[in-house]
Amino acid sequence: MTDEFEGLQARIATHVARQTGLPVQVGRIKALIGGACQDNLRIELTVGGEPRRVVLRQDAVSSIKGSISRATEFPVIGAAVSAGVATPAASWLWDSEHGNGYFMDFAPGVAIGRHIVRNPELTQTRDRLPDQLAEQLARIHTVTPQTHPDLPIGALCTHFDGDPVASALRGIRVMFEEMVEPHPALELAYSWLRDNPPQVDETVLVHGDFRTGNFLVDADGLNAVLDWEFAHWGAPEEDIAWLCVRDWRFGQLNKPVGGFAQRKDFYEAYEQHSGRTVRPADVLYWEVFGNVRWAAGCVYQGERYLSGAQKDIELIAIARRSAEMEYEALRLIEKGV
Amino acid sequence: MQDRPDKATLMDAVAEFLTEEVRPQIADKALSFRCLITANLASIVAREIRTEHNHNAAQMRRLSALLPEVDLSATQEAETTDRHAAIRALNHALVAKIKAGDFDERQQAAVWSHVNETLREKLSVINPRFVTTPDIS
Repeated sequence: MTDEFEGLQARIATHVARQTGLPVQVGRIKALIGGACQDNLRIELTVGGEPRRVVLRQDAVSSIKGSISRATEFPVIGAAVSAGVATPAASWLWDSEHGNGYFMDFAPGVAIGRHIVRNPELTQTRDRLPDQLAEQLARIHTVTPQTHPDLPIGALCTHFDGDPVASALRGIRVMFEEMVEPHPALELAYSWLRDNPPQVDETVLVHGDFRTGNFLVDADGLNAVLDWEFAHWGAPEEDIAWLCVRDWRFGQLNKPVGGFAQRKDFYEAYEQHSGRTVRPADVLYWEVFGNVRWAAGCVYQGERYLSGAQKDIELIAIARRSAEMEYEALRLIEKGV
Repeated sequence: MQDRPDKATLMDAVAEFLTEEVRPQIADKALSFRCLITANLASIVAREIRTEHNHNAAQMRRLSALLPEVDLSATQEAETTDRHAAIRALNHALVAKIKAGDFDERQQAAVWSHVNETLREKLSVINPRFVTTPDIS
């Protein structure tokens, strides 16, 4: 217990007591690593005498474009939990002077990408992940604007206008506006995306960051899906493609699904769980989109540092990596299905 | 011009010091990772210093061939030896022409080839281990 959390302990106790109507004692608080857009703290507390271990997730001082606030994330998680998604339930929404936050049940496991794609102890987990993740994704995609008309989300970086492709293209232009320097490769990729729209049959809740690094696993398989900060309305294939984006393979280039599986196996598992047909050409489209999105994201991370908002060496170091995603977007377009 | 050692060699020394001497002493995993990132940045700068002149000259040559109509006289004053202002102006013009759809089919192929070549040059500096061969699933 360090001094930095001293005042926080008392404020959490007051807030949770007010929310639950029960006596609350707050114990140890520990900062968790791994959120670039929010701060996560692990907290031990007792509520009405019952010991609980929770994670407080709060808005960070600056965030990446397209990232939703904790107050918006809260009902998204509620919708996902009621759809049967294995994700820690969120409670006790908190509007503190430090920004929005909420508390979620602590879920055990590891999420580190390099570890998940390589660790010999996770061989069995990697075999199970395609089916388990396909099942989770199919459940996420049962949430739609029809089933949840009040969910306060839009498209990525822009409002949703009923057309996933048009909204996605508009969102890209919003991302590009943040770029100080010209990026010809991204303009070439954008032209291709504009001229080759896929057929989209339905609009669903897109997790938006469904990838290796955002799942908790252990030696038995998947424990939980995390990080709903990029949730938006869109095409189901967008999530499938994002999991295949090269950067999330953590070096396992020829295991295109998250660095642990082949496309065919994952597509078939998703088809089985969702009842939809996966068209590889559509996944290719959204994978080009994903690389463009992540390229713009890298540039934006650098600008967060350069603006003085967040002096984090990891942010400035990532900016030039945009070239990797740009190269991959053009490579995918040239390769085709 | 400064005396020996040259700037690229100095950056190599920074990278080597961080990797070989500082990082092994860091117990905190997150800090150790950030130390590795910082060493990597020093290596990137070292590679950039060694290749910048040739890469910029090549990029400039290709861009000028694709955009013969662009008048670069306005960039003369802001110019450094490595022609950053001219390259930036040409890239702005290139982006504007791509957006407007002003290249015909033959020119488009040349634009794609130039952009890919430029990315390969950038990647050789920022991440020489990045695989640029096309056989990836």
